[in-house]
Amino acid sequence: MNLVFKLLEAIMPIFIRYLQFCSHDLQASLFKHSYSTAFINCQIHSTLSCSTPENYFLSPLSKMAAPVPPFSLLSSNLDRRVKITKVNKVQTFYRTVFGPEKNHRAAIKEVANILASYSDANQSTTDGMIQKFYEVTKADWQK
Amino acid sequence: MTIFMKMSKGNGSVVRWHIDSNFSQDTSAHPVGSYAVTLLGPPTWIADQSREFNRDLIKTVRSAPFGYHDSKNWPANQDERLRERIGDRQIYRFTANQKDSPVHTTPPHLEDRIFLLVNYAN
Repeated sequence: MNLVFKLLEAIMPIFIRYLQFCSHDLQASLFKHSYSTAFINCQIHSTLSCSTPENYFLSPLSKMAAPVPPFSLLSSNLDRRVKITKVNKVQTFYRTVFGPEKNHRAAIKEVANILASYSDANQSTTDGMIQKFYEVTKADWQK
Repeated sequence: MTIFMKMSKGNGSVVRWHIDSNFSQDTSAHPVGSYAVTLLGPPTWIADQSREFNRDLIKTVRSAPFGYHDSKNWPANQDERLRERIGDRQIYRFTANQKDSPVHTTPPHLEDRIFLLVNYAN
């Protein structure tokens, strides 16, 4: 019996990845059954990653914007003087960092660390840039 | 907050037009505000919904079973016409899983690319 469980344990992550790869809808359904809330965000691009409703959004924020414009450009840009010229170490890297409101600094720092680790970006300057990205977008969402 | 990093393959890739999903079946509920910026490489291509020549593409993507439409060897001049312009390090906002959510794609994989995305919802 132990052997069966060990085998299942080994196979399950591969199976789940396979399901994720096969279908957005199926993936969504699976996770909807797994979590009480229906609100979950998984994305499939060249690599796979899912996150739970509790930790995906840089929230909670009280504003419910409706109707929401489908697309708009913000008036603020990020600093073009922060130089990043190449990605190194990885072919593809994809990670979602959670960011509940009270932990947003930690989330920003983690993203800055990732960016500096896998590119030629300078960590101190990228940290400031990502902090600005957070502040600008948060302010826009709360309008 | 999500970070995407890709090293260039140098030989392009399939252009996958799509609409982001928030996995809520009710498209009128829980609107998500997504904000994105490209830190390195070409910005995301957004199919300008107001342009007549984009109607076929948008219709194809919206009616596709998984909301995807792959285009191989998309003609360069078509790309120019399809895109809504996003400037260097320009932050933009878009919705996910709404009826009018923008059809968009990652550009062909010819250059290194770094992309940041943050979602707000409640």
